[in-house]
Amino acid sequence: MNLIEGKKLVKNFNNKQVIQGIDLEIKQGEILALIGPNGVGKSTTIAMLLGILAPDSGSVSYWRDDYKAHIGAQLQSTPFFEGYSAKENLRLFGALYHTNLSDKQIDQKLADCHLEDAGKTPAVKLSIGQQKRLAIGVTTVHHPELVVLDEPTAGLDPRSRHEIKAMIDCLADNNQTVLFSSHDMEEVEKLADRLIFMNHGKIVDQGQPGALIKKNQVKNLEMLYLKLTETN
Amino acid sequence: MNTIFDLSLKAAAREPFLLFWSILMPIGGTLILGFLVGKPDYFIKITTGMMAMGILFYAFTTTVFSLLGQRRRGVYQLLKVTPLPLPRYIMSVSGAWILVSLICALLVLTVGAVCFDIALTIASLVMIAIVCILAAMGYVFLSFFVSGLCKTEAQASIATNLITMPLLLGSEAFYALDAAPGWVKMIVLMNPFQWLLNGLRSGISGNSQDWAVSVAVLVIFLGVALFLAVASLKSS
Repeated sequence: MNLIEGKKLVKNFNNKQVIQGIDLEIKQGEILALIGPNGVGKSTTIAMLLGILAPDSGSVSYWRDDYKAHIGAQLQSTPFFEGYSAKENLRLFGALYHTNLSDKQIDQKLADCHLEDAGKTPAVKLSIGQQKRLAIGVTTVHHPELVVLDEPTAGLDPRSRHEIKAMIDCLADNNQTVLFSSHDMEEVEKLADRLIFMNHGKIVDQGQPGALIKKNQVKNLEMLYLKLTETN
Repeated sequence: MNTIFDLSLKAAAREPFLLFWSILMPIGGTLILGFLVGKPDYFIKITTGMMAMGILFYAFTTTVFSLLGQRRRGVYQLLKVTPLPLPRYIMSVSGAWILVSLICALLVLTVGAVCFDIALTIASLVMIAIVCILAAMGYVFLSFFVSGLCKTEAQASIATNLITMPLLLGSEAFYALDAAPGWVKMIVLMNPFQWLLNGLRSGISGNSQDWAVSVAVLVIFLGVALFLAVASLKSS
């Protein structure tokens, strides 16, 4: 079953077509990676799939009418509420998804994010790595069926990247569908079931990692990335 | 919705601007000016003037900066991907800010009433509370509009000063304008801040006719501010 289907999506900014008629779907249970260099339209595509941006043409359809209650989205920078602690942000995001979290549930969530000692710290004062982990925490407070993460490991040190990857793995273990964008091929290789490569606002190739490597006659995903983003 | 209201209230109470501009400064101003002037008819004038100023600074100035911060961090974009309707979020947050404004005003009134022996009845307290709530609602909605016009904190600072200064100076908050030229009196008549003052003063004196007029003008102001807030949110 497809959770989200985007058909012939087009988006223009300042008379420039930044998304040029792409088709894509997110299948239930998969970990899908949206890959491409900076500025190719990954975040714009995600924003259209989530309904933040309306496409100039094309359509997006969802697997259920109340889809917003079943999606958790972490945008490139998660807007933590200023003046609120990590705990309060979790409680507030829960309320945004009509989920009232008990203190015990919040403590558990903080533990899942390895933030047991940071519950009372204002969220905006946490380190970048802690903020990224909390961002996944607040994104999943309502146990969504689909989790969308826009560059979840961007700008992180290796340890923080490892922790985020473990959290995404954990989502997959819970049978949650994940869409994440990235240009880190090591991360993609470890996590993703299916890849969509984008370049210049278009999808240049998509499929399972092994099949894509074979089809494009390259050694590994890094070479595939270089090939697909160079030739278009 | 209650969670958002509760958390907004907590966050508002921690706001240092609130403590200074809407509590310490109005209370300090009431006491210093009240004792300096020392005339009984000035006690009500300075107490209500400082109450109104506290409401204006919190419900308008402080919230402009809070809203600008939320807009810039992408809170409204985020709300688009949650099932919570935007109006419900705005109602919860605004409700907390209005309650904080009311509490600030009542704190100043309590200090004024105790120190200057201002007599208050239950009816006058109800009349004052209604006026405070209407005015605070109007200023909060106006802050949604003004924050939508600003892109930076510097712009917000200029915009809030450009609005609050004429409102304050073109009113009888701290001095009488009986001797002012006719055109100044006309401006005062159209100043919603003056109608907040009129409402507070007629509420204390129990003059229900004057109070009703002030309430009617504040309701019109509230309607205009709500229209501007909705237009601003729709366009963004």
